[in-house]
Amino acid sequence: MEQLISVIVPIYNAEKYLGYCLNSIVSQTYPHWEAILVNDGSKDSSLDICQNYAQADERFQVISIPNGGVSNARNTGVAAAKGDYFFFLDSDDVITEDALECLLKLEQEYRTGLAVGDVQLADFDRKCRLEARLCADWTGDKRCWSRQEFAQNKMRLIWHTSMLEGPYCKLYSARIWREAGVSFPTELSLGEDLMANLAFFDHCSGIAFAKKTLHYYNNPQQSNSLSHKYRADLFGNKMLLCQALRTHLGDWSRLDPQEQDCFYKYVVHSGCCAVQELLKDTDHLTDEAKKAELSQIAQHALLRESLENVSKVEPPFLSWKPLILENRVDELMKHASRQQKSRLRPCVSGVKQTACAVLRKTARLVPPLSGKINRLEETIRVRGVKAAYAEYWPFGRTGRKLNQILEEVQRTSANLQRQMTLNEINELRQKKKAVLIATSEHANIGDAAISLAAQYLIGELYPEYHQVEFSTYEDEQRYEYLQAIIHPQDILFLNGGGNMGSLYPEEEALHRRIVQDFPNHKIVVLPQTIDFEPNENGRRELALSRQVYNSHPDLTFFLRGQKSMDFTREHFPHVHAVLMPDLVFHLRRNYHFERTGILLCLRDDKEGVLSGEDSQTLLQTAQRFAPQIDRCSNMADCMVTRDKRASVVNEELKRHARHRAVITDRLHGMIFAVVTGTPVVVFKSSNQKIEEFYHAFLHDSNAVFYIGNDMDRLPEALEQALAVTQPVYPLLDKAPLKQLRNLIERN
Amino acid sequence: MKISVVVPVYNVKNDLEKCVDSIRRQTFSDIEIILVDDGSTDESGAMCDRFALEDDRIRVIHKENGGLSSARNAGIDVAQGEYIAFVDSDDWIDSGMLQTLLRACEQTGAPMSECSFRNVYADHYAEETRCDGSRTVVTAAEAIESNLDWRTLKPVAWNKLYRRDVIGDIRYPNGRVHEDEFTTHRYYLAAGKIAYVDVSLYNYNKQRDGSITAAFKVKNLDKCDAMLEKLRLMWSTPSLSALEGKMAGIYCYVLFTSLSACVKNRIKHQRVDEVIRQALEVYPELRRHGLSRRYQLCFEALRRLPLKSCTGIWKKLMGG
Repeated sequence: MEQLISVIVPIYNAEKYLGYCLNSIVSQTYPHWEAILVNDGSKDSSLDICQNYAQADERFQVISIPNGGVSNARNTGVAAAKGDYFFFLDSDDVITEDALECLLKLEQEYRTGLAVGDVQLADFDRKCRLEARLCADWTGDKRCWSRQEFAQNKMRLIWHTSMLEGPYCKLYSARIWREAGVSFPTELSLGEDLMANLAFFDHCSGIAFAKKTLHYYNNPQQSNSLSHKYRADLFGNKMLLCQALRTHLGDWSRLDPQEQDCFYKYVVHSGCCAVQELLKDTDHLTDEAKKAELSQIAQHALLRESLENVSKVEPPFLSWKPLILENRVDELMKHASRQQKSRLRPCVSGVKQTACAVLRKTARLVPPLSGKINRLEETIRVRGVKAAYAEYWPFGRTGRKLNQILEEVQRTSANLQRQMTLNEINELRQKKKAVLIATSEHANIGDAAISLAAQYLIGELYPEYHQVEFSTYEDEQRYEYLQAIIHPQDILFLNGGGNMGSLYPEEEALHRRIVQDFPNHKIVVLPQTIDFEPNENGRRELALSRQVYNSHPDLTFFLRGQKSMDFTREHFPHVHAVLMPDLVFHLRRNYHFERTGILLCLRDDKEGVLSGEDSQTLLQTAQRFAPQIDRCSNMADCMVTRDKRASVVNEELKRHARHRAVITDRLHGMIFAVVTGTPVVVFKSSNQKIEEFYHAFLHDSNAVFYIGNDMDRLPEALEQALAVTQPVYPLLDKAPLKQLRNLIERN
Repeated sequence: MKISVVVPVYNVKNDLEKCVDSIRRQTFSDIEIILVDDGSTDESGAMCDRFALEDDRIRVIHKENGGLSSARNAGIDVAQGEYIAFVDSDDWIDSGMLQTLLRACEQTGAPMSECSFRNVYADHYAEETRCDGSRTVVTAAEAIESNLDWRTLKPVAWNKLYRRDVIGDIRYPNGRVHEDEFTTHRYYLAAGKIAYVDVSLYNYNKQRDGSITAAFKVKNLDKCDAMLEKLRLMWSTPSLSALEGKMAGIYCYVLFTSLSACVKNRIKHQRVDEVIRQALEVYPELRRHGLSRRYQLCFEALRRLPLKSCTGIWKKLMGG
């Protein structure tokens, strides 16, 4: 006789995700289930959807009750269930197709009466998986714990994995459930599922682990929720729950110290989360009321006991311990709100909606495409924009718009993949690190080359340091990691380039933020050009930067030219300034390609100065000297993420090395030419980067011809450039790239 | 016997067991499973025979290789059920699919029913779709329009249940790809009304080997024929005349993108010339029915210029 599994789904206003949830039940490979859909007085179309499914498949059963809370709904479901096992599923989550089969096999093998699978966070709006909640490796190789082992490790399991907190992804024996008289307490507003679990645990004969993600917990990023309300007495309730947990753990004095520590960590975390919630509250509480509540919290006996005894407070609450213990309410408020407000860049939100909106617009404009667009839209809806890109690119002009959106998506998913686990954080925190900040992951190959060179050079000069990288595309969460992993002896390197000043305010703001947030660390700004515009905006930025940079005790700037040096001495007198060419020269090596034709490397962004007419002249002139003219812009057609960086940069360098000469108005066009030993004719771009750099490091070279914006000199310069056989760069050869470390340590 | 499930099998040893298991586990059990081994060269054929020993609802036909269409047709010819369903052997179905589709037919009186499906890439979760479980009954014209727009009902063979009389003597075109583009609308017309259940019950394996979604090949030109056939049908069927304009646009789109793909992939073949000849033949009639200026220009280019020079013009005209 096949065992029947009752899947109990409490439902309240869940129309948005209910279809996902019910489809995942329908798709189970184990067919002997009944699904009890308990509609808890929904006001939306949830009940209709439930009834639709019941009409389609008789294994669904719908119970509709007046709204009475999730515990009541689950209890109602249990009462109606006829199965040998109970499985609870929330209406906005999904399970994998083998979830029931896998758990039932586990139960049939170990007969513990309780089998659990791993739960992973996911964001259904963006169709992506987030970090796992349950570290599967934490329980080692053991697939099953006896009742005693379970009792001895319970608190560790709760703290490290949070798998015991909810009823999610567990197969409960119905017999034990009934014999133990378990029910979800309806009077609690919080932790009712943990209480039910605790009541069950005392009666099952152990616990079996699937060690496999079987359940996705939907956790959509509500990035633009404007209003946030603190649930009254959230903190009090959390502490009551902690007390109940302690009672359940039994005789405290006989408890294993590690279990005790996990309990304390749990309490501290619960308390701090409540504080965070309180501070997030937007307009329901006044600052005074918040302060009063915070004072109350700071005096709570269990929280204080836990803070005093806990071995370590985990991020993101690292620095809160003294603030709470010493009742420094004002600082706590300031600290927490800064954590929330400051963001490196806003998170991507609504990407899919935007993509779909663009598509619908296109569909109206180009009716014959509508079939394809509907298909594409469905792909985006079901599998995400990235997948749509893979399947339907290229797609004409629509594609170009899509491309921008996709770049955002790629960035977000790359960041999601880079999430760190607690273990990694702890490990990194022990190490001495060279932290490379604000590296580039966008399409500009020049910037990618700077990042690559910095990566290499720092690796060579600081072999005993562990290298960590944070790019400008990292989001706020990664920045929190930076704060969590920092070691007192770490050195922070801010990536070089031409982005210091007012032209790229986001980058400048990031520089300031790092300098401000790490006052006790050595901070090095890798070779930069400084350019504050002489206007209102430039002056405002400069005033901000001046204040920040001049108050840091150990700040070194490497600068790519004399003007920047003078500027620094005048405005940032406390900064240690050193003249240094671009780190890209670290990539110099000999290329032995056959060289043909001329390469035009011209920019088209906001720094370009060449008019249409000039560029025509330029092209004609170049054609007089060589029939083959190639063009490049130092821009890649995709984001140069860190894993692609080396290969993309190498390709670009090889491209330069295959030409007899380069004509460019881009700094990195010039630099790439020099790196590859290619003679180059250079124009001026709108800011001072090129000119300054040329005068500092390249004016004595026989292979670099700087003609400012005097186009008449082009033919002559080009002729000379093509005649160069042995390019030399005496000043550059003397540049102290390898001395970087000594210069930083000021020996 | 209520339902015959026809499964064309060709070199799918890795996916076959999952597929057959999913049919055997159906909550509706009054079925026969017809495995049509289309001349497999791997052990798929032997696997079929093994399955037949385990379950007496399974019948196996071994035949010379003749392609997906011929395998489905062979299955239809021996099917004994009141209803027929097709499952491709790289895919699998949810345990309630046949029951749900059958009930939709019986309760609504529609002789044909259809459900939603999910594309499965690496793992199931990411492809789960959002449905509302609703059941609707549509006319053939509405179903065909939905196909054209790629909305709820899809021009595919395998997410459907057909009463035997709907199949009648309509068969899949032997030796051609995009076979369901040739037939789905004809089944709709034969059925007259179709019940649609908005629940995902079919798992379409996107990682199948040798999928036609890969690079463009000369056989993909079959799609132009399928579209043209559909267009002609709409011109001659009064109940479908409202869809003419949309269909003409889709035909043109498929035609010009396919021809562009031929140029891009350097395909030279008499089929290309044939497709062009047919297109130029039908062009005057297309104009009579009203063709957008954009596509008229595309056709003029095709008529006057060598194919190679057309693609750039088409891209500009259709690009956005």
